[in-house]
Amino acid sequence: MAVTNEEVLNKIKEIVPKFGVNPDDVSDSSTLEDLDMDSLDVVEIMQAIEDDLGIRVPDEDLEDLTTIGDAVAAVVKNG
Amino acid sequence: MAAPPLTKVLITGIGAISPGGVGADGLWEAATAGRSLPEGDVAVSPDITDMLTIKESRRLDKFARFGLIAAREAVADAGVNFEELDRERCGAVVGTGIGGFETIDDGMEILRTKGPRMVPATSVPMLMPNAAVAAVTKDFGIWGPGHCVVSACASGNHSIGEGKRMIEYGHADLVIAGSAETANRPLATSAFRAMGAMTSKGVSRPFDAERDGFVMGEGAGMVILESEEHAKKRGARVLAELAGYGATNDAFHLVQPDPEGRGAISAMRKAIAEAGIDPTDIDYINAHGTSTPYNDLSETKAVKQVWGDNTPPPMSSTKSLVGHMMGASGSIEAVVAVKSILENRAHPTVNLNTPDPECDLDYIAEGVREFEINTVLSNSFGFGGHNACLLFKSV
Repeated sequence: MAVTNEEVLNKIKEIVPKFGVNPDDVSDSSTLEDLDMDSLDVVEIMQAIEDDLGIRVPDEDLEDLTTIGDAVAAVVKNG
Repeated sequence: MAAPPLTKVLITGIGAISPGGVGADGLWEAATAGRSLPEGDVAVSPDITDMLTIKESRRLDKFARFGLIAAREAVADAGVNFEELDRERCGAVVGTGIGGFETIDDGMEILRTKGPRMVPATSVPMLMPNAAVAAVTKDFGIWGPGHCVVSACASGNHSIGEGKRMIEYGHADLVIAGSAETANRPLATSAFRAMGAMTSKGVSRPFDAERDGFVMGEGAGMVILESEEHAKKRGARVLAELAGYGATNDAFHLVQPDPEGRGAISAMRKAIAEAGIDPTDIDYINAHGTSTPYNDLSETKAVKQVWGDNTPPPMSSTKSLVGHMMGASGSIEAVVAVKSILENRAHPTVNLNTPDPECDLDYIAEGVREFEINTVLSNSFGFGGHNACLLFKSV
């Protein structure tokens, strides 16, 4: 089942409050650094996406990921 | 040739979270109110909502959150600003009985229901017993020694005692020492109930003939320890001296104390000897006093042995008032010991209505007692047969 960038971004916005991040601050161009998030948060986001959307993103697609847009693209690519 | 005298170790700050509430004052008010806990075998935990931000708390198990909050209180109470100190000369020892029970329990549930891929990546650093000391050292930027002591219900006393050693051996000038425990989870309570360690009647009644186990609680206690020189240089307000620490093992049974209290006797004697005083110099004993049939009898016997032909001083059980906080209990009771010295008041042992002919000491059953308290012995004995006693003196 294909998934759109918008759907994935909205899903990430749903998840981030548990990291203490305001969803309104989250856009494709925001970097993990901007949001004070790290690679462990990315792992948790990907777990929630796999749980909710059934999309499994391989670890190699998560390397060198710096923006939320990169994360969205990695999910869409594997959707 | 005698070894040079070790530096005096002083207590300059205290902090606590207990079923009495958040804060050392809440604990002391609950203890000196002399009210029994509501009936039940688990005490209601204090509410810490909003005390930490989501960013601060999201990778901390509940026990580490408790430890961090109590440590912040103790640091504020001591007026310490780590920015002004040599942080390589500051240390921390934060013990626990279990560690991150919440994380273990929730993680196992996720593993069973959602499978291994959904287990949170941060589970291990959250459940590890040293998660609380990690949180505390990171929060304050403590660069000196830091570790976690695990010895069941003696963890608190061991942590504070080992903090004393850090300073005496010259490894640190200031140490945050204490412990935290939040084990109110079905795995722990079910096991304690099956073992008969928790009260089936819902009442903690230490030293009473009808005692049948403890009421479980969650909490954290923390003290700031400083060398005398460091406290002076900083102009710190001194609350008490930590004058003695004695630690031994029963090497007798996994959970049952040595019936004659052999290990408890030697731990008390070591703490008293280290303080350079005699048992008759002690004004008050803060008992381990769990309300289990075994502990209270063997502790009573042990105290009698230490005092020999002399009458032991009054002794009371904090656990009768705020529950048994497992690995946190020793450090909670250290806070109580300091308060007792500062206010010359000892809280009672509540629910002691039917005297046990074999437990025939003065347990302060009648209510809060006011008398001069300059020296307090505080006992902790843990599953595994680990004993740790602390000796506090007024300054």
